Amino acid sequence: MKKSSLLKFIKITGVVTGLAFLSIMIWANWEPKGYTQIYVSDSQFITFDISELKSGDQTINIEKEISSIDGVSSCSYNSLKKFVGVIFYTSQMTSTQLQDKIKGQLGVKVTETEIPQVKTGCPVGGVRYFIMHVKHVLNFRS
Amino acid sequence: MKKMNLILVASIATTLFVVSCKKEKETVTETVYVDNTPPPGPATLYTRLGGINAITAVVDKFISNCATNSFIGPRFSATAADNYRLQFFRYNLIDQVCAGSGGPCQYKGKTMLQAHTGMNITAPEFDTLVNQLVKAMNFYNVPAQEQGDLAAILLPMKTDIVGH
Repeated sequence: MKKSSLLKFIKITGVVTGLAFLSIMIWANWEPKGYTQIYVSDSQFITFDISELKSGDQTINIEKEISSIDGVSSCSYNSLKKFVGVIFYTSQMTSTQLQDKIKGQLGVKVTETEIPQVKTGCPVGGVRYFIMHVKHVLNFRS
Repeated sequence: MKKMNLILVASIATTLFVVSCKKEKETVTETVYVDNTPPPGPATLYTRLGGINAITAVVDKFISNCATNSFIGPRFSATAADNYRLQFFRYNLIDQVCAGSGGPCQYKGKTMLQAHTGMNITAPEFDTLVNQLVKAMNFYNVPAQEQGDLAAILLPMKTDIVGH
């Protein structure tokens, strides 16, 4: 009796979980991915302190040198605070690999820095973006 | 026998007539088609900018410019630091530029007014943002004509972005 109750519970739980998963998959794949989501790869933004760099170095040269690294999409240099913000493709390298490559390119110590969080950031985030992210990850249509 | 010959001649005549008519019709159809084809117009801004890859490069440069800028950086850093928020912010910007310039994308984000309400963005902040876009376009040598055309699409959004 006890064993059959357990089996019944497992069966119901399995069916409910399966149905829930199926519903989420149908919802996520209801519409095909957008043109941009198909053709533009995911990327990550990271900041590195490069304060050891000589002050005479030109902003544009630093940006061009780092942008030329394979897998880097863009680089911007803040000459006042001596740090760079880099957007790179996560499918091509990790942040540690990027850090090593920048170090090799510039020949100075490169340290990853924390990005300050501000509440009134653009765009205002929240649950909506989390839901959109789940939908994006589970959408296999193209 | 005479009847058979008559039928044969009639068949050949009919075939020749049909073939000649078909040829004539094809020629006419072709001519009409050519006449109705509109002359090739100027390329869309999307094409002139270089398509999705060029737009992505400019948008990424614009985002990194904004996030590292001392004045407006704090507005962007939280988004840039969060991976999935960055993706959607980036996709929305690319979609907006791509769709606005006549590309195949569709902008699915909030309206500019909805997205910026509660942020109290000031006019100097907006101007700095525009400067970052210009810097990004200059970095990739976007010609002045295309920069102006893109600005004409984006600048009217100022009223929905500033002061809300």
